[in-house]
Amino acid sequence: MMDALQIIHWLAGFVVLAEALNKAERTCPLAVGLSAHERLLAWLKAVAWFFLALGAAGAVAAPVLLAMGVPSGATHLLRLERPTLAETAVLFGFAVLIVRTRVKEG
Amino acid sequence: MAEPASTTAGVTFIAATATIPVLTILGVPLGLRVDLLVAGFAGALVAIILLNTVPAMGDTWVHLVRTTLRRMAWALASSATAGYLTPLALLIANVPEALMLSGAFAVGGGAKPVLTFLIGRLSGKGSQSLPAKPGQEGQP
Repeated sequence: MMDALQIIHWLAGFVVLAEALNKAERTCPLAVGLSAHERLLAWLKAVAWFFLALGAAGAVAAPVLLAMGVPSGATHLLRLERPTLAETAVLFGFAVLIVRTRVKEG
Repeated sequence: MAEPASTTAGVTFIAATATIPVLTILGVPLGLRVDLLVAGFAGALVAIILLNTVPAMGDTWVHLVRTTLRRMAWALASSATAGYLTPLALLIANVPEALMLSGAFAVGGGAKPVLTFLIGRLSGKGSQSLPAKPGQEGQP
């Protein structure tokens, strides 16, 4: 049974994952005609959203993997047990910033 | 006498599968390894960033939600493809265990071309493209 912290963590992960996939698709680090500075910025943006998507996907997948019989601590790639308050706060903060940006843009 | 069907890669794969848990649904093992799914997902993300595999469809909220769900489904399908096809490649091509995650990353990044190629080869139609879904004929 998921408690409030896990539910917030999962929902925040879903929002961050959705936005990260959208932002990642808009980055064009290999586009023709970019200056060195623009290309560097595009690569940094792509790397940032790549890792945000990966981490958010882990948050979304963790309870699913636990329910599918993967024991917690069975793999070094994911920690499946209950998220800590710090992890939830970071992810929730990102999600609120994303929602704020979307509301601002209309 | 050595068993003809057994290979080093096969033994390695069996040993790796024994240590890494596989996903199950209602007690039924799916044969999917978590590490391969993660590598396949990372490959799908790179494909979305560099190859623009799931382009945007419009600027409205409806289009945004639809595209987002399509991208999630794409990444999920790529992960599943990597999870199922990479062990197959390991057995067929005698790929060492050390390259397993790299292979999963590559399969996840190119899930659609890989599936198209395999289906084309198995069905004897070469590497023809799969038919597009209705309404998606004009998309790359």
